[in-house]
Amino acid sequence: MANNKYGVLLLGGYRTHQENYALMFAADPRCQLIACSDELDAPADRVELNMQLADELNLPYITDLDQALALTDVNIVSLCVEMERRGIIGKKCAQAGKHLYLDKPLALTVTDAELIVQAVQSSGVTSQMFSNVYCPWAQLAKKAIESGEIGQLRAMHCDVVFAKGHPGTAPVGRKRQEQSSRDKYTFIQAKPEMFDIGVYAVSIINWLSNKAVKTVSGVTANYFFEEHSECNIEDFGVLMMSMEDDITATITGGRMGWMSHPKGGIQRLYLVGTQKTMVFDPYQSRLQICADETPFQSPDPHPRDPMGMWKHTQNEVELLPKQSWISTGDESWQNREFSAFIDAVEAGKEGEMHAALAAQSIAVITAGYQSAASGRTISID
Amino acid sequence: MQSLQKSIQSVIDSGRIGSPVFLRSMLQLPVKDISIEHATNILITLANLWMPSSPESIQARRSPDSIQLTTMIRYLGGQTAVLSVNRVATDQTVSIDLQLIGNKGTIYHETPPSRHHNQEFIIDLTETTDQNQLVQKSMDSGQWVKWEKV
Repeated sequence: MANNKYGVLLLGGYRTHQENYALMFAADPRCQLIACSDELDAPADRVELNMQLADELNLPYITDLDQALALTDVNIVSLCVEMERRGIIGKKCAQAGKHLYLDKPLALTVTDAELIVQAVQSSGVTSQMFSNVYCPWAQLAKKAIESGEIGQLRAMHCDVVFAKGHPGTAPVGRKRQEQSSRDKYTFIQAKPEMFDIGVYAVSIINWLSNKAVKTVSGVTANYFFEEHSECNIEDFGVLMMSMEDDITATITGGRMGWMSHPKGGIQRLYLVGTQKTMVFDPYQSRLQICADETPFQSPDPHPRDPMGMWKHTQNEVELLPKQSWISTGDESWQNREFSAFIDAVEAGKEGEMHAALAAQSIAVITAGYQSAASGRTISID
Repeated sequence: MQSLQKSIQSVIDSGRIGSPVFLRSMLQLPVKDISIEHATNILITLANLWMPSSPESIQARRSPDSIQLTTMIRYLGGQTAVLSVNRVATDQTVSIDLQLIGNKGTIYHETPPSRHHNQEFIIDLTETTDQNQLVQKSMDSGQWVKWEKV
């Protein structure tokens, strides 16, 4: 440890969630950022973006990941490389004995996810994937299940849909033909949203229920954005799942446009039990402000980030705050997400959303794509 | 009071949300009220009214004790609906939450908590389609079932 602090190596730079994660680690007094790095043969444009974040954070950039992993003062790797490279790199970092903080989704394929899970388990390091489990609404839902307040669980329905992007440009009334597998995930202008955003909802379902998903039916769509349509990836997806103990679950994951919600988008969970049905929504406890002030408007699309995905690019456009709803709830859950990971490292145990649990979400979403492509319900072994 | 389906239909007709693409509807139904299957038929009828194309296939999951019944419908134009009916205790009132997402905007409706008795909602359908056979067929097979007009 450097200065009795956990040294953190950052993989990934601008145009990744490392823009946010690096700041969260830097804010924890138990951590110290050591360097940014990537593979020697990482794509040149990716290296350039990594170096830009390193410059912003006044950190050295180590061009060879192997050299970076050999540093004894690196204890933790915050892993935000492209989805296509997460399996191999995650495995390498865990085998080097580094604790893994993992961007969501865990990996592109079930095989890649398994590489990470096996390496984590054999090396005994702590792992945690970014998720919503530390959101107050998710914590309350967990308590409702564990306390027996809802009785026996019968159904769970979770929606996570971001209100970002400029909608109304996708062809109307055209059905999407899904592919059963995909090689490419990372595009400049868009991401496959059932995967990228749907993973929040699926991982919450897995974490809350602790039950295996048996079957998955999926529908994907291009409802809103020509950017997704041009990349042949979906902007919206729906999954219906049958789980152990006759539990039914449904999720939606997608992106529907800046003006479609008074805040950041739909984030809602229904738990249906034999005793009661409960709804969890971070915006239910709120102030509603009506005032003579400039209302929120869609920002001009950034040419390198039309969906509003990255912090540094959104700083370059005039983005008015959405302030008609003000949450009265605790909004510091991201601090808890990261401090809980360091707590787990200190305790020598796994994170709440550890790699093996996160891998279950990859299996479910992958089955969802297969279902959407084939029009059949897919069984998960 | 204007009925829920007419209020929503008027917003759809105004074009404010663009073309409807996805409906999530969650109906809480006290045990004493109508059957879970009939309530599902009401939700299906509403969804079919609001969606701009005809239903293509349906899939359903019901808990063995009929606490909940969830259906997912695919439409010919690619739209989707997920409709759930949940049984709640007899001392609770019937309520409906829904999100109707269009390609340019979204309608949100939540039945306010029961203390707002002046804001109960009305659904005044003159007839509902009976899809019990399709729902049962999907539950038996665990698969999508092609839509058949009743």
